[in-house]
Amino acid sequence: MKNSTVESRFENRLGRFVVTRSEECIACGTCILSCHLGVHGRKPGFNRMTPPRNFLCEGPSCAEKETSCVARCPRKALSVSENRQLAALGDNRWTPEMILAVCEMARTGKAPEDGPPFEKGKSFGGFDLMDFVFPASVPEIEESAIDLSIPLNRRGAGEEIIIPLPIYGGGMSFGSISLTTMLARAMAATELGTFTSTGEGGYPEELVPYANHIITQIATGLFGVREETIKRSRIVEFKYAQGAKPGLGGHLLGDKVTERVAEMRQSVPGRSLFSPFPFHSVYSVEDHLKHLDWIKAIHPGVLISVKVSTPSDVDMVAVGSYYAGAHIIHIDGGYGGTGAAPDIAKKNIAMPIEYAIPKAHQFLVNEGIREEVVLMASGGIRTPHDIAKAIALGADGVIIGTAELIALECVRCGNCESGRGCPRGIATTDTDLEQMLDSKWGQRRIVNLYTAYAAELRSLLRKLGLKSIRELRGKMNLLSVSNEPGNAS
Amino acid sequence: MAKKYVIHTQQTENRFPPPGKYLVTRGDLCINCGKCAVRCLYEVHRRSQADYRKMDDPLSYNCKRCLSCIQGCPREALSISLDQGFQKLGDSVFTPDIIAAILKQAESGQTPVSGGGYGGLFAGCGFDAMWTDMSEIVRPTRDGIHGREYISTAVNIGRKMLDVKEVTFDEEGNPRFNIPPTVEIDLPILFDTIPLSMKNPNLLEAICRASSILGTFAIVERRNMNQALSSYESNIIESLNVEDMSWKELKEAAEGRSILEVRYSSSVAALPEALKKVNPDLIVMARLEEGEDTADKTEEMYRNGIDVIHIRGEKNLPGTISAAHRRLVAMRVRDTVSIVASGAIAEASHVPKSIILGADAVAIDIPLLLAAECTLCGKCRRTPPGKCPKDLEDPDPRWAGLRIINLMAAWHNQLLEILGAMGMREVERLRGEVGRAMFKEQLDEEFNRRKQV
Repeated sequence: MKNSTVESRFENRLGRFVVTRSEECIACGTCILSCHLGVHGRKPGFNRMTPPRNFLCEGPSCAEKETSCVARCPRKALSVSENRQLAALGDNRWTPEMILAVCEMARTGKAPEDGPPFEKGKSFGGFDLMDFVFPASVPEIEESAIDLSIPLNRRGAGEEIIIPLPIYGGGMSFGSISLTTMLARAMAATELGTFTSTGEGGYPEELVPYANHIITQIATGLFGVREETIKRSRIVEFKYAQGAKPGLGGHLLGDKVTERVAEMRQSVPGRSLFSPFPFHSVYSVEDHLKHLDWIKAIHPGVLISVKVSTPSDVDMVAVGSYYAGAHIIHIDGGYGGTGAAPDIAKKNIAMPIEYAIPKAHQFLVNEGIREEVVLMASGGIRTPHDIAKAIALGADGVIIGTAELIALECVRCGNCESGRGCPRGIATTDTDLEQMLDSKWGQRRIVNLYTAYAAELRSLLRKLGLKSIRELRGKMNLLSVSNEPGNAS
Repeated sequence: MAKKYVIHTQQTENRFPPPGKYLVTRGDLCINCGKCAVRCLYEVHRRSQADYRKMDDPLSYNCKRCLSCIQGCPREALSISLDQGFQKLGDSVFTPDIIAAILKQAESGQTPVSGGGYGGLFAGCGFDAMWTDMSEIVRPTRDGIHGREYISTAVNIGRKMLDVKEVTFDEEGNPRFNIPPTVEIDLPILFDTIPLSMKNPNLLEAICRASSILGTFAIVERRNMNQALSSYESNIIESLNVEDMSWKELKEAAEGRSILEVRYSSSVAALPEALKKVNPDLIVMARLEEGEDTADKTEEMYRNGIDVIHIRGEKNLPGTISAAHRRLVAMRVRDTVSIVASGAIAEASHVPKSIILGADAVAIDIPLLLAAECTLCGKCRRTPPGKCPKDLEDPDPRWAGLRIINLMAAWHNQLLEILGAMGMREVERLRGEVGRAMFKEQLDEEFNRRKQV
């Protein structure tokens, strides 16, 4: 994996600092000469300075250096402060620091070296109260020798697939996100050797060249499910439920159903589309088995993933899915999700993923079938640290969605459902807004993100003294959980 | 099957600009290039109609925090911050976000929907320390929200079941049933008396009108009854201030009514029996402020012949409901009395959660005011009362009624979502079903046990 800096699509990327120029400025230009980052400038032929490019500033730590504009300004007209606008960004789960760090990883391919910690959010629970307990002394391990790969088929029947890092991309459908975004994700998955999922909504022709790294989703509406798309895919994902709206089915609002989307889904443009909940043909593990057999008959050798949410009996659901013949059990917790969902469902229905992973994992262990099935977790997994925590709780790997969108400069404004859709050109089917995002650019941003995540994971494993990510699975004793919410921040 | 219950909604606009969460500011560096207006999808930025060379001040309340204008401004002249006024709205139960969400629901009647997952706290206490269950694969769900399967939200209030002790036998040994009266409401939500001093006739009329259209009850203090409310009488529960009333007045109030509310104190212990002598079909509801002795008081009220126990609580409401419910279960009389919970019911999820904890129905008060654009500024509670910034002294009763109906339509749909996800077709069967919820305490305990393995 190679990485290089991929700049923001916007004139001003989000930065942590603001440079203020007061009335005292005499436009002498000393600041232009001192700053090596290009914060200050003056257009040819102009006397006055252009406004500072705030986002380029590295902050008060610069004050000690030779390059400090604040220190060298003869009129003391410049000052640097924290960017207070960031208070308006993010929320408890995705803090501004976390969004900025993920953006930075997507930009440079490396985790930010300085700056505030971004490993945990401020939701005062779950991953945000967990920390790794690093042993005092560990064997010396070369980071490059640490193995992050995981197999996606552990039960024999079907193709052997190993992905080089324990992450793949979650389902986002054509219609909920733009074609350019889908393409960016598919191209990145291909370059990385991992997978991305179509979501429920069909398989646009443009994705066919990347078919080896695309999971076809079959969901309750059966939108866009065709024989050829099943034959094309190495992994087919059955979506029974999704964490953001467990028990509620899918929902694509009419505004986003353009002619192209409608054609793909064999529906009418402008009409809202609801996927029912549940599969009205599955009311038992035997029915479930019948569906999986149907896919295996169409495409022998295909791997089957079963995506379920986190009810109180998530352990039974996991075991049932195994006996129905699933290779991958994908449990999706309630706090994640990318698409539009009722707020009441996101907060209140089904348990958070942090509780569901150990519940499903230990039940599979006790049933003696843990080594024959792959347990993937998603729904609220944000940082590389969350990934490691999910694996320590018992998952084999994770599936991410929101983090990829943030790499594409989503700011989590949450208006994915409204009218023309996303003002950032991601979750839209509007032909103008779609143009805001170039697939190649998106591909490079996502590759950078995964590269940075992989590096952080390796560094964590080295500190834990583990040579492979597979050794981390289920090691809950490596985690300490703080019970004092007050100390969490 | 009973007729399907449908709430018809109608877009009913705000009269005032809604409080905006974000404040967008245009600084001196702006060169009026207009790029922000091109970028913005929500009409925050516009050219001045008076002078096309200039940009208007941003309409911050439209801002949805996409940051596109901020990041696209060539002069970095725009900035965004959290609106300080918005942050100060409401209190710890009715938070600024809850107030804003109620306003939106009252306007459109739609369930709040957003993308990008959940961004709030992991959990909290009370209602925030529980998650409702859902079913998949091995247990069917119900597809109620889009009307493909009918989910009933009706509940009966009163003594639902015969107390075995009340069955008597005649000379020939045949049982004589004295079936107690109940009333059915289509939605497990009653409208409580409004707590603020904002008790103007128009708002009361709007509330009663909405209760009659929705098929539920509005609780109205007897002294606030007026001529305009008489056409909604069958959907009104008069609340009596017993201490101020003579027996003659009490008798008058009980005659011809199906249900009445009294404020409970031990001194009125004999009242229910006396009122039922006047009107045998009367359901007596009594209001109790939550306290440490709620369970004891509940038992006492039951023994004194109260049919509906109306518990008002604040932050501790979830625990209080549960305590009262469990006491009645332990006494084996749970079905012979109803529990209505009110006070801290602030959002749609609190309705099913209260019912899971043991209430038969809830009653709401402040959300009714919020639907009519109140922002809990408190000016009306001052002495002398200040002018209401939202003109709630005199809102159009039709407008305010539609807003309340819209809000209830949104809550009804959200209740269907919760019930459908857990695979239930009657809200009445959800009462006390704690197995339909997952509690943080219990999940933490399981988590810690697994961690020891």
